[in-house]
Amino acid sequence: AERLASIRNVLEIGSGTGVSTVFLGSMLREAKNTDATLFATDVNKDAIRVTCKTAKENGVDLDSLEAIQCDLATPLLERLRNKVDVLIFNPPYVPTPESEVGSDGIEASWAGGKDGRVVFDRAIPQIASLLSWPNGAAYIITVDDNKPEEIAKTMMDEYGIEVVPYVRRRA
Amino acid sequence: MRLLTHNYMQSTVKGTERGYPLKIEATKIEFEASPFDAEFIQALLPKIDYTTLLFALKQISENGNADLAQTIIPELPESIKEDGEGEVDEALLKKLHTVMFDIHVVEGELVCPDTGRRFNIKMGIPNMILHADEL
Repeated sequence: AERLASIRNVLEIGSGTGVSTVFLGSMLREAKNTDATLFATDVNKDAIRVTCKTAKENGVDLDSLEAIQCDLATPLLERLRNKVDVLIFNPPYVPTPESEVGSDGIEASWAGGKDGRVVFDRAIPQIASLLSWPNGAAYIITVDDNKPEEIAKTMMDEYGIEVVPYVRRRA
Repeated sequence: MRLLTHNYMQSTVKGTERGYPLKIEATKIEFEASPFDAEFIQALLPKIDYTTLLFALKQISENGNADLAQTIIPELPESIKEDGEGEVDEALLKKLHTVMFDIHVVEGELVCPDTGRRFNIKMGIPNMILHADEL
C-alpha cells in the first residue's frame, strides 16, 4: 500500500487492450493515490482506442490515462526521463522470421523476430532511461526463448539494473 | 488528444534539435466535461510544463472551432500563484482541469516547431510513429 501510494508515473508500452494499466489504475485509486499519471502507448491505433475504452468502462477514467500511438515510448523519453515509477511491458516475444516484425497490425502484438527479442532489445535503453531511481521498477513478460538470463546480464552490466524473476508460469 | 497528453510529447525525428512543444493545428475539437478533483489537479501541477500548457491553449483558441473557444475555453494566468501553504485557488484549479482534461483535439495535426514535421491526430489519437528514415 505504501508503494502504491508513492507511485507518481506509470507507463505501459504496448498497452493492447489496456487491462494491465487499467487494473493498476484501479489499485492506485483504492490506495487513495491521487498523484499518479498513467501513460499507455501502442503502435496500433485500435489498441489505443480500446485502451481508452477499457479505462473509461472501469472507472479508471481518462482522469489520468494519456494514450499515444507510437513506437515504444519514443515521444515521451525526454519528459519522462527518470520519472517512471512503474513500467509495464508485455513485448511481442514470440520468435518469428524478421519479416514479421515491425508492422502496426495485429502481428505487432506477438512478432519478436530472432529469439523473440528484436522489439524488446530496442526497448532496453528506453526502459533504462525512463525508470526513476532508486525504486523505479519495470514489470516485463518474457518466455524462455528470449534468453532471460542474457537479458538480466545485459541490464546489470550496461545499466546497473537488477532483473529479478517474479512469477513463472507454464503457458 | 488532451492538452495534458500534448504536454508530454515531442518529436524525435533524427536531426531535430528540439521537437517540443508541438504546435497544434486542430480541425475538430470536442469538449467533454469530466469530474473535477481539486487534490488531484493540485498534485498534478508540479509535473506539467505550464509554459507549454499556455502555448497549447493559445494554439487551440486561435485555430480551433471559434464558437467552442468562445463559450467553453477558460483563460489561464501567465503564472500560477500559490497561497502561503502552497495551495492554488480552487477556481483556478477548475480552469486548469478544464484546459488539461476536457478539451479534446479529435482531428488535426501536431507540427514540430523545429523541422515542421507533421503528426496526425485521428479519432482523438495522436500518431507519433516515425518513418524508417527518421530514426
